[in-house]
Amino acid sequence: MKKLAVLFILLIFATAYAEDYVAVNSMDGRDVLSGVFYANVKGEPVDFMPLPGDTGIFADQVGSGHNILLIQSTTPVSSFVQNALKSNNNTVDVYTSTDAGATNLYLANLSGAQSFIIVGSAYSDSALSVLPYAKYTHSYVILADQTNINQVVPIVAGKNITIYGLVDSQVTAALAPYNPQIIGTGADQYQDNIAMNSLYMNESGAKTAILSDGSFIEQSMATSGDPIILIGSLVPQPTYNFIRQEVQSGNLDQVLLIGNGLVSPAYDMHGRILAALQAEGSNATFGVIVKFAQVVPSSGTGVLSLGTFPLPAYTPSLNVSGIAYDNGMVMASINNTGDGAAWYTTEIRVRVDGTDFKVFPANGTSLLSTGQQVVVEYPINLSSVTQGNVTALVLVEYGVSNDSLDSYLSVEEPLTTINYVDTSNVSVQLAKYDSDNQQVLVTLRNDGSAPAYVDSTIGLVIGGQMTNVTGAGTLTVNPSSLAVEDFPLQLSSADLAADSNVSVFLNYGGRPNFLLKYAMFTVPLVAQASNPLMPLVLPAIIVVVLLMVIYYLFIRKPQKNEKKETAAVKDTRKK
Amino acid sequence: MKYKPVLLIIGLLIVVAGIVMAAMTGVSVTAGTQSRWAGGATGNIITQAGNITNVNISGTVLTSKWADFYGNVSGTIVLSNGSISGSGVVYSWTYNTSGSAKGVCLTENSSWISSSAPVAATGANIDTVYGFTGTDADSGMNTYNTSSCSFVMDSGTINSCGNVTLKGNSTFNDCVIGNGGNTANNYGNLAFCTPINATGKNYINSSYNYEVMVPIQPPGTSGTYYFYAELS
Repeated sequence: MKKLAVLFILLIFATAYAEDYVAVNSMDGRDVLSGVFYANVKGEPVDFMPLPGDTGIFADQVGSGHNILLIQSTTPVSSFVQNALKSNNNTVDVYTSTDAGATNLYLANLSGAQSFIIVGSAYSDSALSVLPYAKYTHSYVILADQTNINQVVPIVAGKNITIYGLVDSQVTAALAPYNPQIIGTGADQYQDNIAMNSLYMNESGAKTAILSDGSFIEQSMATSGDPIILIGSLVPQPTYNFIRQEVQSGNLDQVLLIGNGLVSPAYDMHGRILAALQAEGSNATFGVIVKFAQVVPSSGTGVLSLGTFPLPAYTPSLNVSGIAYDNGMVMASINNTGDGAAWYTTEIRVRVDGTDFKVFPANGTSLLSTGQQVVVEYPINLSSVTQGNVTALVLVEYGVSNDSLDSYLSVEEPLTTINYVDTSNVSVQLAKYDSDNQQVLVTLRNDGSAPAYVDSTIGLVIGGQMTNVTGAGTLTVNPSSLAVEDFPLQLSSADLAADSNVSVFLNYGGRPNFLLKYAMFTVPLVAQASNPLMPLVLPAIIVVVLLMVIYYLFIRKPQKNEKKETAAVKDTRKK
Repeated sequence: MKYKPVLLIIGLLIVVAGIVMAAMTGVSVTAGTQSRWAGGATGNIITQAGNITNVNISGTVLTSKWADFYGNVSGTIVLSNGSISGSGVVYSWTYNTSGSAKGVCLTENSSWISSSAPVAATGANIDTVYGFTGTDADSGMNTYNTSSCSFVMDSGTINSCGNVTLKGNSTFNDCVIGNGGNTANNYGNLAFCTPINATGKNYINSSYNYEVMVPIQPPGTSGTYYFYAELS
């Protein structure tokens, strides 16, 4: 009976979407990518409604006689796609996507993949970079970040896992126990892309590559399996070197451009590489092919632009939330308000009546996680300034690549003297691991007389490696109060054995924009034993319900019948 | 105002038969229509008993197997602040069309036909792939009916390709190349190409840089042709 029930459930799942074609109709690029990832794992053709797009042409391109799984968002590109596909003699099952992040995970499960590639959810160029390798290895690509990693872990646990490029530290930490393959460092999107393509081209032998700036997806990028090499309006030097090396060694015959947008840098690169190779006496060569239009004869239309869907590059977002002069220090607080980590560097100019008084130049780059804050401070003596308007100009350059800080912001504010006495005093009371909910809970105490604002990071051994995990954001701890910071983590028994103590690093202060105090505590990590009765609760409830049903159907009802029969006998006797 | 550095931009603009083609960025795209022969008016002869009438029968039917595309490949080099037209352009030069691109190819393969150097294909291969009957007057064998084409690509010259010399006033010869997988219904294994000709004429004697005749999938099936150009 049990086997039959299991078989029945499997059958339901197996036939839930017995598709032979996947189509996507969504304004959310994550739905488009997820549909492509899913189809590539299943080895099925896939097409997506381009933006802008024409429903009739899309339906004609899909063709007829298919069993189609249509992944359709609640904000579709067109409301007529389902009917258009049906009109072309297709059967259509619709999966309605209300949340593209959830859809990515749902399709991960549905795909049955045994191999997963994890990329940062904010970076569409990461998703494009791994797309061909994912197709080649039948891997599903999960868009992960600190907010969904708890849902990701159960999906990928025990399977092949690859982490690509820049991801949240919580993602790295949560997956560390499963010994993931790591591709790229996250420091530079182009270097990571080269690392990916080097591996893929070596394994697959692919000799045609697509050049892309990562700003859109087109059919050939979705399904061809050709490696996707990222370039911009200029070809980055590491990418140029990689392509030249691959051409010279006979591993790359041609590159494909989708549209005219990158003709200029590709044409320039082509000439430079051929000239350089010829100068070295090499006759190696390669072609640059531009795909520039399409026509669908069955639609009876003219020549059309290529069907693309925009995938805007992630734009990091930092802001300067405060500038102050406090106890002989000029300081600026910088917050990451974007959805992904960003590299940044800061320069501070202290000015008197608009003229530089002291310049603190940029000094190297650092990575700031999403939701995190950093305070940059320098000592300065302003006693010689007897008059004038004293200001501080804070310049921040930032970007998603360490080598390419292509965004900047500048804020200038009066540098008023503050004699602020920070009375916050935060300590760590307790750290424990909740195995039921798979999280480390750190209890913080504020012994100060005013609220304290705390950014916390824990350091512990995961999968044999020391790993730092940053909290989700700034936690407020009221005076003489406790607050708990949770770090979603799955620790194995081996991890717990290695983590008898956990290091807790605190940046805190009495002002939310200036977390100037730093403390480090090492406390025992208490493993909160899982309640052994918990796994029995649900079965117990089911058993009770079943017993009630059995009681009602087979015991109580016959009693009623017996009563009725007894009453009938009495009536007969009376008569 | 923040001034962008002056950039050197090479833009490749490809125009087809009164239709501005799919330039993805910086170039507008306007879809046009395909022209199609409407067929001749039906003839009729009024006759009466006793008349002897000589009727010579000849006819021309529109092929259901082939379509034709023609257009221009042009480019401009601009010195600009990032714009490709308008007041942002300091100076522009006309680009040498014949020197900038080797040829134009049409294929149903969304990602080019081959991951390595393409090989020659023939009219018979077209019949196999597209399901045409070889003895039909408008079959592949009877259209791409010689093998004298040498099509030059950066990956090498492809010799002995099946080719067709277009009629009317056209100055173009089209070649068929492929990836060697000439099996039925695998339409993406073939490409139909012609060298860019800066002084070319299409079938109605208009100046165009390319004209390509391609087979069409049988009625009831769908297909998409993609346009490719190789830069030299």
